[in-house]
Amino acid sequence: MTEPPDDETTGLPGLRTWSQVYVAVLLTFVAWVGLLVALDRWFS
Amino acid sequence: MNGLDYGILVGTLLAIAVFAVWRTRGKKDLSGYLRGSGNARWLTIGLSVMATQASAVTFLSTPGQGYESGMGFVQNYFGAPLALIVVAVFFLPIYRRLKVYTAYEYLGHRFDSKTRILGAALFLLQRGLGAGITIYAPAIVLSTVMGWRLDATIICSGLVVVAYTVMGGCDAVSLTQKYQIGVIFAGMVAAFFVLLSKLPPGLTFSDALSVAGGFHKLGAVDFSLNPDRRYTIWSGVLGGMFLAMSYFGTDQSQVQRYLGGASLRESRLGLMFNAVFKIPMQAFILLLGVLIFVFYQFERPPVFFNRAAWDYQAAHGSGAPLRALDAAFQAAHADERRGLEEWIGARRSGDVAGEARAHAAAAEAQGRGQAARDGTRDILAKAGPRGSSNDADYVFISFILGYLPHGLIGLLVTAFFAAALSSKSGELNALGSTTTVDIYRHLVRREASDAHYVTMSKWFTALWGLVAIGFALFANLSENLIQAVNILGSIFYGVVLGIFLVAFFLKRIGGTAVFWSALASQALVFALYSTLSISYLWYNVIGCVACMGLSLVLQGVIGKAKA
Repeated sequence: MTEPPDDETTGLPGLRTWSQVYVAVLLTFVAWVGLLVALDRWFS
Repeated sequence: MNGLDYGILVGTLLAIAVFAVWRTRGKKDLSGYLRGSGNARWLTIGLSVMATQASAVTFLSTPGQGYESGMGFVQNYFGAPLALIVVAVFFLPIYRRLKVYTAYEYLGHRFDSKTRILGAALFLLQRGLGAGITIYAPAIVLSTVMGWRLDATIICSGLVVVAYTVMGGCDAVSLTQKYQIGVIFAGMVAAFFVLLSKLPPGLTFSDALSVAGGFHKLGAVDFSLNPDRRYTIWSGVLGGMFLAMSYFGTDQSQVQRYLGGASLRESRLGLMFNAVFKIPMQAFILLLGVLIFVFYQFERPPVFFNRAAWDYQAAHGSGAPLRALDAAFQAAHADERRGLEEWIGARRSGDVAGEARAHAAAAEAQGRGQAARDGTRDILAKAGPRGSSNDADYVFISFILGYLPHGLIGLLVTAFFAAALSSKSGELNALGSTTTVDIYRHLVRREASDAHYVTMSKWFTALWGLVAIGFALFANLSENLIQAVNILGSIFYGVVLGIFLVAFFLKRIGGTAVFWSALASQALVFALYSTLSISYLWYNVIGCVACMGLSLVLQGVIGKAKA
C-alpha cells in the first residue's frame, strides 16, 4: 500500500488545503469559547 | 424500570454486539485483527475516537458536575482542538508511514528497545490500573439506584464487552462504537427535550438560563490566573492541550482507533471531527446538569441524591441529625422557590428593585439549602465508604428514574451501558495489542505465524478483560480511589508525551538520554504531586517539559563523555 502524499486534497468544500482546515478548526474553537462567554454574560 | 425498559436495554446492547461480530466475521491476519481492515471512513474513526474517550462516567457524572458547579468543567477540553491538530500534522503521518501496530513500536524505531518497553509499560500500568474503573464506576451507581446486584452488573456488562472485543478485534470495536455512540446521543437529546417539557408552565428556556445565570451556573470560562483553581481557561488550554496531545497522540486506545483509517485523509478528518465537536458535546452534557438544577428549583429535590447511602445512615445511628438537616433543606428550598417566582415575575414586569430584592431572597435561601446539603455530606463522609459523601454521580440518574417515561428510562440506561462498553472495548483492544506486539512478540517470541499472534492477542485481550472484571469485583473501590486513578493518568501522561515529542522534534537525542530522563521526570512529577496543590492538569506540562529538558542536558553530557 502506497501512502498518499501528505498534501493530498481534503475533499472538503471551500477548504482545499490542510492548513485551511486547521485554521477553520481553530476559528471554530474561538467561536465556541466566545459563545460560552456570551451565554454567561447575557444571562447573568 | 419495567419490562419495556429492560427489553430496550438488553435487546439494544446484544443486537449491537451480535451484529458487529457477524459483520466482522471471518479469518483475520494480525494487521486485520489489530488495525482493522484499513477501510474505515472519517465518520467511523471520528465517532470511534469520541466513543473511546467518553466513558459512562462522562454521561453519568458530568450532568451532576453541571448541577453542582456549573459549566466550568468544559474548560478541561479547551486544549483538545490544538492538540488534535498537532497529532494530525506530526504524529499521524509518521505512524502511518511506519505501518506500526502500536504507538510504542515507533519508539523502538526511533530510539531503542528499552525506550519502547518503557512507553508500553507506562501505558499498560496506567490503563491496567484504570481497567476496572470503566466497568466499576457506572456499575456501582446503576446497581445502587436500581437495586441490582453489583457483582452481577459488573460480570454481565464485562463479559459482553470481552466477548465481542475478543471475537471481532479492532473492526468490531469500531463498528460497535459507531452504533453505541448513536444510542448515547439519542438518549442525551431525548433527556434534554423531556427536561425542557418538565420545566414549570410559563418558564421559557430563556427564563431557565436566567435562573441558572443568577446562581452563577453558566460561568464556563474563568480567566483567573490563580494556579490553585482546578479549571481555568489557562489550565484548560495549556494543561489540557498537553493532556489531550498525550492521550490522542500516544495512548494506544486512541492511536488504534485512527490507525485503521482508509487513508491519511480519513484519519485526519476523523481527528478534526473531534476537534470541532468535543467542546460542544461536553458543554451540552454540562448544560443538561444546569437545567436539572433549574428544574429542581421548582420541584422538591432530595437533600442528598444517593438515597441508598442516606437511608442506610439514617437507619444506623445518624438518623436525628440527618432528618434535621433534611427539614432545614426543604424549608430553605420552599423559600428559594417563592423568591424565584417573585424574581421572574419582577423581571417580566420590569420591576428592577423588586427583581433585585427577590433575587437576594432566593440566593439567601439557596445558601441555607446548600449549607444543609454540606452538613449532610459531612455526616455521610464521617460514616466511611458506605456513606459516600459525593452524590453528584446520582443527580442525573435520579432525575431519569423519577421523571422520564418508561421506554426513555430504558434508552438512557442503555446509553450509560453503551458508553461503558464502548470505552472499555477500546481499552481492552489496546491493552491486548500492546501486550502482544510490544511485550510478547518483541521479548518472548519474535518469529511466529500471524495466526499464532492473533490467537495470543485474543488471549491477552480476554485476560485483560478478566483482570478488569476481577479488579472491579474485588477491589471495593471508593470514589476517592476512582479520582486518584484519574489523577494518576494525568501524572503519567506528561512524561510519555515528553518521550514522543523528543522523538519527533529533537532528532539528535538518543534512546539512553530519553530513557533516563523519562524516569527522572516521572520521579520529579511524583515528588511535586506529593508536595504541591496545583491543578493536576499542570503535571502534564511539567512532566513533558522536564523530560524534554533533561533529555537535552543528558544527551549533552553523553556526547561530551564520548568525545
